[in-house]
Amino acid sequence: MSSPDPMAEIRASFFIECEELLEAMQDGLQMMDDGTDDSETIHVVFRAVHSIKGGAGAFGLEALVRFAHKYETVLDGVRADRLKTTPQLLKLFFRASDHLSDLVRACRDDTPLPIQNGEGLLEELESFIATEPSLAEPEPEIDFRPVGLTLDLDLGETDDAPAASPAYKIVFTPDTEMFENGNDAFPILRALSDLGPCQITCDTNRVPPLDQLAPETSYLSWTVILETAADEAEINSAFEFVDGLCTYSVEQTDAQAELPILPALVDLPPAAELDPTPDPDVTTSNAKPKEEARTPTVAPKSVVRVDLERIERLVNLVGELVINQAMLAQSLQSAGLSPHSDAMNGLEEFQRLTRDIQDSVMMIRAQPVKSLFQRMSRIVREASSAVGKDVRLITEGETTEVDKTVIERLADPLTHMIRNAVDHGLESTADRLAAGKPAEGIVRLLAAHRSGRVIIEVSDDGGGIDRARVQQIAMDKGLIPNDAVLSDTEIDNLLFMPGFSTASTVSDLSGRGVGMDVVRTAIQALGGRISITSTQGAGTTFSISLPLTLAVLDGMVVEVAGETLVLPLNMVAETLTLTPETLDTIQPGLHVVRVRDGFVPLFDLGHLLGYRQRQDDYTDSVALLITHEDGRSGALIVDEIQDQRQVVIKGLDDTFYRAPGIAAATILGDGQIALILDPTDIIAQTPDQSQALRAKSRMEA
Amino acid sequence: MPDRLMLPPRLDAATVTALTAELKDAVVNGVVRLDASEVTHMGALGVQALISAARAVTENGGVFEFTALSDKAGAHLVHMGLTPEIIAEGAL
Repeated sequence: MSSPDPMAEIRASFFIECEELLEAMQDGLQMMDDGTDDSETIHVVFRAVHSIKGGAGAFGLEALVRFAHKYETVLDGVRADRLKTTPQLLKLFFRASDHLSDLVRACRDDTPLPIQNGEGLLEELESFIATEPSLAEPEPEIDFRPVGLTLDLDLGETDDAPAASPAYKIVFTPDTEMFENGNDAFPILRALSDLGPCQITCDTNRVPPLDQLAPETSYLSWTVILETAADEAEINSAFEFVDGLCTYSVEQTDAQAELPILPALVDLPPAAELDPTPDPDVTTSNAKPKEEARTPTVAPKSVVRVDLERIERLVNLVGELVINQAMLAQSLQSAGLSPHSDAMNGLEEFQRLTRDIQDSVMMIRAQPVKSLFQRMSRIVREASSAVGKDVRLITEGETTEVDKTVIERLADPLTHMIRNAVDHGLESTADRLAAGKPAEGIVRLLAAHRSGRVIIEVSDDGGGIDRARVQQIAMDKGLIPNDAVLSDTEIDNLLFMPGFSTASTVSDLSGRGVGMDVVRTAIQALGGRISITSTQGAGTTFSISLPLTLAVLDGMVVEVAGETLVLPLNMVAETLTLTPETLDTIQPGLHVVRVRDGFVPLFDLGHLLGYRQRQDDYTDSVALLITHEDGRSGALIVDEIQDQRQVVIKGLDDTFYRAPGIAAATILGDGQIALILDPTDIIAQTPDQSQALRAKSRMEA
Repeated sequence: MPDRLMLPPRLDAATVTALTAELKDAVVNGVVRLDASEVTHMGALGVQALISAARAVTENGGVFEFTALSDKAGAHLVHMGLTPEIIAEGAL
């Protein structure tokens, strides 16, 4: 078995960190866009870009380094008050961030770099640099330049006048492991020299004779005398990337006395590398000095990265535990133990603990939707630019946590919805102004936990759904009869019909007749529901309701023809007992049930699943009323409702035949395997019943 | 055995073992001329191997020198408090 390539692991780790840096960068830009006039915010954005550049240099990702360098140069202009933050500049920053993200991901995935998009952006960034000569900098050197990134914006800095820069003596000895991990000494030393004028001495005393030299063993160490206004925390941050891989000490000292200036610092080219003038980092530090040298007192949130595969294994094991506990409970009950016996009391506690463990394990898979929302922020920028509308995205509930798989699978549907909101939902700028609205349209993205489910809403402040037009289009396309009388909700739900499109022209974004039906299918595949509310002139809201996790399901356990089956509880609107008064037969084998003012088609689960022949009479049978967001409904006939309980979802292997109406399986407490049904699919697979219902409705009318 | 040794673009953990072997061969001649014109990463492991080789050569009255040095290699040495001359003298 071959051992993993350490460089590949370090590289992978760099790209994971890049994602965090990109997130911090987006956060900072968003705060700036929201009007936060805090110098630390631009500092955070700058440092994120700077750190990406530094890491990229270590891996020779030159395109990434070059773009990041130009970007950070302009950011630094803002940071040092040499450039003013204008809306135009902020838009450029957002686009540059998007491109930087593309570059990072292209480098990570080894896909072709999006060079073309970058050329224009580089020119725009350069034009800003050209307007401010002090921003002009030499091309970046492709090397690793670690920069400490502090995401905590409250650094407690003060605006007190700076005192004379103190000097520090730093002794730095790399461990052999530091080099094994792909790090090197000069980037650390350069990061220190970036903080201010310094004298560097290399101690070579431990270097052995050549015949005794172990090439990969570290023998060198350095002493640095550094004059800087930066505090110890900033000095320490130079070692952030090699923490635990070297030994170093930092102490204040008398700068001038201890070491002579080395020839190295005065003799050798290139001059730019030797210039003791502090770089922009230090300039800012001088402009906003710290009160005193101090060490960070706020401990960062401790985080451990875990391979997803390990979490999956844990989730599966906990699932087994839940099943095992249910089996145990059933065995004890079967043994006739008193509910008040010690064993039963112990079992109760066991059940509670199992539930807690299961909830905790599920929380490991949960992630904030923030990363998803940030992607949508970009979609809004691109979509609004494509259709020439001024659009602002407002997000709420970014910290709402959702199962990782749900987040991944929500990206495409949400992208569709956001594009639709920008393209169709919002009116043109001229129409908005004519309607007395601000030129800037608002798209709102909200996430929240409600009643044990996750709610995601996409809303716009556009003109709302033009229902007359929607209905006309549906008639023209033959999707509904010409004489159909539909409620507002039913008309709104026409948007989810396959092939439906209100777009009179096909744009780059939408209007191709695919979209909302695909969105609904994707949401339903996640065990979710989607609904629309729209007010003419005020806007439209699409609301998605999702389960917290895809690993467990609140199910209704039923028995049909001696088989135990599970239905998702959220799909069951109510249970019905069929009586002669409510039952009606349209034609042999086609039954409906009256539910309040309407008729609902009946579906015999036992027959549809092939367990038994169709029955002639369903009087006194139990039916589960299933409703959909699109207004369709059906009643599934079962023999008995056994229980409502949480079940562990076990996916059916792809090698099995994909039976219609079967979503997955689970293992019940008695060890029995039960199929989990997909009621939507069952109803969709039997069109005859719907036709029968329409016939009955016409007859009633 | 050529007396001019072309250094690889990266002097780091991945290349230092091969470099050390080449240096061991080269010092036997008593003349080591290094071409560092292609070096883009002058890492500490490579530098200590060069220092050790320089000592081996100069202690026996040989010649150890850089014939070419890239800007980056020069800059990296500066940041480590070194120069080509200091290395050539065995950093003593």
